[in-house]
Formats: sequence, C-alpha cells, structure tokens
Amino acid sequence: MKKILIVDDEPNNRILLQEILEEVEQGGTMLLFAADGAEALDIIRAEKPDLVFLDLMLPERDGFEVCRWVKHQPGFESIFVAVLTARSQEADKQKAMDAKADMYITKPFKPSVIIDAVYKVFGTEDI
Amino acid sequence: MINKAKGFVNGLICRNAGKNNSFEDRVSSHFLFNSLNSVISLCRKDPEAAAALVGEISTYLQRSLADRAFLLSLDEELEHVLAYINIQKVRFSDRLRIVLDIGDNIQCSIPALTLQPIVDNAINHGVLKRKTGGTVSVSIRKLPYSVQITVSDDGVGMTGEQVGLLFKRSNKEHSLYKINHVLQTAGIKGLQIKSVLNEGTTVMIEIPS
Repeated sequence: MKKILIVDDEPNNRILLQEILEEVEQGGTMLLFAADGAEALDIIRAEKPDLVFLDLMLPERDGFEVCRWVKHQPGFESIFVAVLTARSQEADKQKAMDAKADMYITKPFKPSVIIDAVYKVFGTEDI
Repeated sequence: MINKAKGFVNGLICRNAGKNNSFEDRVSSHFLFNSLNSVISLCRKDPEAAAALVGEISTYLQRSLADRAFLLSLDEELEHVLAYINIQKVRFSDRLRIVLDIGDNIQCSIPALTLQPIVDNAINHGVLKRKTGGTVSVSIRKLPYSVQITVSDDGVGMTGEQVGLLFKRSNKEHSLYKINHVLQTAGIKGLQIKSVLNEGTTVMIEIPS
C-alpha cells in the first residue's frame, strides 16, 4: 500500500491536506499524520511512507532535522520529501535543498500543487 | 514623563524612517501565509469561522500597517494583540490556551508594537516549543501610579544566562531587546523578565499613568 505522511503542527493545515488528498486516499493510499518532528520520525521509521509533506517549523525536532535524517538514513533516503512551508525566503529554500528536500512548496498553496507532487511520486495512472 | 519623551522619540523614529517601514518588517510573512492557509482550510469545513478569521486578519493587518504614532492608547494596542491572539488560537487550537485578565476602564499610552511582540514571543518561543503547547496569560492592572502589564507563559522557559543575554547589544535584533530599548527611550522602566527553564517566563512592564 502506498503511504503519504503529512507533518504539520497546525490542525487546520493537516485537515486541508487530508481534504485535498481525499480522492487519493479513496484510491487506496494511506494517509498518516504527525504534529511534530519527533512523531514524524517515529512514523517514518515504523511505516516508511513513500511521500512526506513536511512543515519546517515544528516542535520537538524541526522539519530541516527530519529531512536530513530521512535523506541520510540508509533504506529511507528514497522517501520523497516535499517541504510545505510559509517560509518563503530564498535562504530557507536553500537550507531545505541542502537538507536534500525533493520539493519546496510555499504556503498558501493551490491544491493542484499538492496533487502534482503526488503525481510526481506515484505517477498519474497509479493512484 | 511619557509626554516629555514623546517628541524626542518621534524624532528618533523620523531619523530611522524607512528602516522599519517595509511590509516584511511590519508583518511576518510566515505568520500571514500560515493564517491564510487556515482560512483556506476553514472555508471548506466551517465558512463562518473562516469569515471570522478573515476579520481578525484584517484587524491585525490594519493595526500592523497603520501610520505608526510612537504612542498608542492601550485600547489600540490591545485591539492589535487580541486580533493576533484570536488568529493564533484558530491556528493552534487546543495547543494554545489564553487567559486574559484585563481590568475595566484602564487608560494609558503605550509605545506602539510593545505588547503584541511580547505575546508573540510567549506563544512562539514559549508554549509552542512544547509538543503539548501551554497557556499564555495577559494581565493588565491599574496600580496607584501606574499600569502594570504582565505576560506570562508556562512554556519552555530560559536559564538565567539566556535572560541576561536578551539585553546584550549582540542580541539587538531580538524583539524583547528592541522593546526594552523603546521603553527606556520613552522614560519607562525596561522589561522585567523572570524565567525558569522548563517552567515558563513572565515579562512585566510598568507604565506610569
């Protein structure tokens, strides 16, 4: 089963992603949720999702740290990490790219941007 | 005391004109974009709450972007603070608890953008650093010759060393350093900060009235 992890400390943002991905979920993809960096890493270790939508400013361990862990951990580095953040400055984007993030999406975003990220990971016919 | 200082400080603001006037200097884009994302989310599940949130964001922006007099009435500053708090409560739901204890008919002048950044600091650097969040309390009381404003949180707190560093010149970009400087320039006693690591922080201002 395909798995997508949504990591954001704001409940409304998690709900918004869930709604945008509703059809993807109905197609058989499992949606997982985490509200902080430590919880995200626990789920990543246990569930090994295919795609992570990752906020940067999180309690416990921030998104940069989570991204670095994923991309430097043997067996996990192929997980697609789409950073989803309100930090729009170029320095933040560069820091995320340095952490090996695969995509950088700034809030507020259009739903199509989220769906495009899913297509990029799973292909258009496979979800 | 405040009136005497007003002319001097207004001159200071004029000399620094342009330095703090960009949109980004007045409004955190991170805060704004996250707030707009909450509006998008609420539009689907609770349109009335979305409309209310747009109202709070409008008030917040109006106060943030208004022509900035050095001194505001306490009511004006509170309007800004309450809009900010109401937005943050929508964003963080149960993780953020707010207790307001504001006495009736308290009037005084306060340097602009003094209280809101202190509350911002308590929320973002105090309680939201905890996974479970916490409580921010804002208390405003009339004393015989002053108004006492207290913002306390039960967040992550600071060591004595960290508190001491807040007012070092090397930390001049920190919001609390800037507020302390503005208060002192206006002839008001600077911020009084008490903090205990892992227990929380209390910031107090006493404004002569």
